Amino acid sequence: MDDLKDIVNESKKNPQAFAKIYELFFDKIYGYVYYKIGIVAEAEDISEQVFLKALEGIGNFEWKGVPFSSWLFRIASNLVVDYFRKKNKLSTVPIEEQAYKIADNRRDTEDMINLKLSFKTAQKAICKLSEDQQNVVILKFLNGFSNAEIAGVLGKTEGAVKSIQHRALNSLRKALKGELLNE
Amino acid sequence: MNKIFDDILDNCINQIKLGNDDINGCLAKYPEYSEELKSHLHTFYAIAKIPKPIPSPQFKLEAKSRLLKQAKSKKLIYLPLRGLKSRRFQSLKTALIQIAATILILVLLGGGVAMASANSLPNSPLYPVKIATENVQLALTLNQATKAELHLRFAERRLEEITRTLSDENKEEIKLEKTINAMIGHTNKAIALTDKMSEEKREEILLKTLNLAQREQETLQKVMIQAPVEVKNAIKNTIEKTQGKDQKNNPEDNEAESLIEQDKTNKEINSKKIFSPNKDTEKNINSEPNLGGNVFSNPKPTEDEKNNGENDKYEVEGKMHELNFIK
Repeated sequence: MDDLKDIVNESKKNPQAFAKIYELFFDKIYGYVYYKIGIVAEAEDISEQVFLKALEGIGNFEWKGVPFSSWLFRIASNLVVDYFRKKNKLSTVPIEEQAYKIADNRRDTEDMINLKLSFKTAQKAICKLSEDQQNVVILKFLNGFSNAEIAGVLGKTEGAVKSIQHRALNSLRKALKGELLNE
Repeated sequence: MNKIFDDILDNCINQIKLGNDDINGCLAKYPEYSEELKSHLHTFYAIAKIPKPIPSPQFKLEAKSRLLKQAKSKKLIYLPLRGLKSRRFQSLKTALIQIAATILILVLLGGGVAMASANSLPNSPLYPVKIATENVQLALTLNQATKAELHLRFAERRLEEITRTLSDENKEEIKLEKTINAMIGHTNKAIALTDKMSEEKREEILLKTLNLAQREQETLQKVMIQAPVEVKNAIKNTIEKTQGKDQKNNPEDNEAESLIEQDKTNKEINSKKIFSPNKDTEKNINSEPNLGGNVFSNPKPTEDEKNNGENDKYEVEGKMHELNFIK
């Protein structure tokens, strides 16, 4: 399997190779954007824009300490911020029914309903966090990012990421009490 | 205290994520923090177990297709074609008359002259014959893939002419300027034609075009480094003209006029930013989406920049190449 660095370098010379980057990251980017926006159509549009922008800018990407994934998610993060700025919207937006295309094989109705409710509850709670806290929770808990990668996205130190994580969990614990958490 | 707890919490989360430990295991490791740790780890677990949203497979495919289409045009266009875009199309009647007249001239001159002109440079009296021959070849070629290959071949010829002219003692700046225009015109025509051919052929043509475009780029950079001041200024003028004014009718482009309509079908190519001010990468990426923006809105340096004698910086092919124009 191609190393990510090879794929990125190849994409700089041959834009067609960018398809590999798309395959590697699209679902993650979509998940990230969707968690923040909560509207499928908008999440799709923004995710597509992320890759178009990345394609435009990949020639300028340099391996200088910032992981490629951080660079890519920073584009996504900025586009989401732009989206809310333009729309003058708050992050707390209704979840569409269509949004529950969740990666789960369970077909049982009751399970699905529970999952939908859990998803909705979690998404609402995440949207109430600060921008940095949202990024840490979505990138680390849901996308499996390392602290170094998240630090690259946020432009902060790994220590700061740990601290943000702690505060985010504090807020989430309060928001989810009695819902997803049985405390 | 807080920092210590931050580290412990982070370590536990990482271990659980990796499957190396569970909540109870972590609590046992850090009994002094177990109470606070427990509530945080349960919260983490509640969030982490929620399935991830996945995009619609259909949308994902469609978006990929659009992205690859965009990728095809990337790197291939690096100089503005505003003049080409805005020129009015020649009428079919005029075009046919010109083709017929060119064929007649070539027949009268005989094949020998045409052959002799093959190696001529832009400052040679035989050069117009060479160009006329190429125009006839293009006009008589109906197959789009063959036509695209012809454009590539002619772009390659212009490239060679530029290189040879550069090594010539008597550099012809005006001819070089026209030759650069013609080279770019042929390259872009080849790209535009790829929309009208089979997928397999398209791949082949695009690969060839990519290769050629890279060599063109290198040569243009050499031109900007090696050429005398007059030549650089002439090229700079060419670039500015193509950005701000309609190009004059160029005999080399007569054949291309009839193909301009095909360019219209490839709006993304014409509307793509191909020459933009050289700015900080992140700033570019983080700014307003510029996809589909006007290609020609940015590149022309302001009068102030010129007057201040600052070097004009441009980004070519999305790379941070600086073309330093000598004033």
